[in-house]
Amino acid sequence: MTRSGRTTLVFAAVMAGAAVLLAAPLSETALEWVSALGKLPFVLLAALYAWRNTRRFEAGNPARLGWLLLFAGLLCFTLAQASLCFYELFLGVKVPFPSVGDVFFLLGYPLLIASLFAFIRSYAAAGFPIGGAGERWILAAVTLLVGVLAGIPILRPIVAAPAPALEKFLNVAYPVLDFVLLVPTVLLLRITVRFRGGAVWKTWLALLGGIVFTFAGDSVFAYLQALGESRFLRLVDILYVLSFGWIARGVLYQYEMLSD
Amino acid sequence: MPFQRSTNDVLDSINGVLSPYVGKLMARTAASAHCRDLGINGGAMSRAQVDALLGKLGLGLIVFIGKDKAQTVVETMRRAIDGLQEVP
Repeated sequence: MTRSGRTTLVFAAVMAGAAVLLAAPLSETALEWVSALGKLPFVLLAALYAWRNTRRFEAGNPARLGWLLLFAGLLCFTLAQASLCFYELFLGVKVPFPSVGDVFFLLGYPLLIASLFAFIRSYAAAGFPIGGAGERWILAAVTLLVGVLAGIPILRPIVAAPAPALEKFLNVAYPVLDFVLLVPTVLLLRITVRFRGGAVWKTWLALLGGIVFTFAGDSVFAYLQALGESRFLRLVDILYVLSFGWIARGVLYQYEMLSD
Repeated sequence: MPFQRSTNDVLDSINGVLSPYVGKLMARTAASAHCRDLGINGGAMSRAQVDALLGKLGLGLIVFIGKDKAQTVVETMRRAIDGLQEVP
């Protein structure tokens, strides 16, 4: 097995281990530690290697902007996760909602969305046959339409639920930002499929897979929050562990590709 | 004798070097598409045609693997093509 294969195995084992523990009947404190340690190292690693990837692309390279924006977005997510850990593990209190973590999450999403569009733009200009602009516009429109149709039943109970204005705003903002994020994600997935079998394909399959898990985690969280349901919140943690784990693996794949 | 290499052999050499990065299908499709754009449609390629094709592929690779690595990959393709048999 190659070194890269062994790294993927370690990532998958840590994600699977964290998911099993989060589903186990452990004490609340133990679950909080597993939840924190299953997410924060992954997102920190992703931010660190996104920065290293940025540095590896020379100035003027169109992909450099994509990696820089991705780094900035992941840094915001790292700070957000770190603040959640601080509440749970060091202050020993339940994370308030909203909290300072939400400020960083809300800053991180637009950066992540901008980074994916920057990648699409740079890859489209590379001269590889990845489909025309018309095809991308149609795919974006279809994704947006599906997102709106799927979003209505998710957002309806959130909007209808009695909650303070800021809390309601955040419960709506996260799924909406996720739906917007889904558009460049689908466009990049379409591009990625054309590179199947290569290192570019591995990088983006892992990274975009992680983003899809973020989408799933945010949607489930917003839905449960609106319903005042807390029984399945560990499922949300599992989805976030998978999200950050695969994003980190994708960023690391790119680093391996740049430095092998 | 001027540089002449079989087009099929050149494309096979390019695929061998390029496919670990962009996948087999994209390596073949990209090289063929660039050949078409450059008007390369004969059974043999001249040095200028090979250079033009490698130039196009190298430019495309830059956004995926950076300028330095792309240059290394292009040089590897060039060496592989230089090592091919001359065609009359």
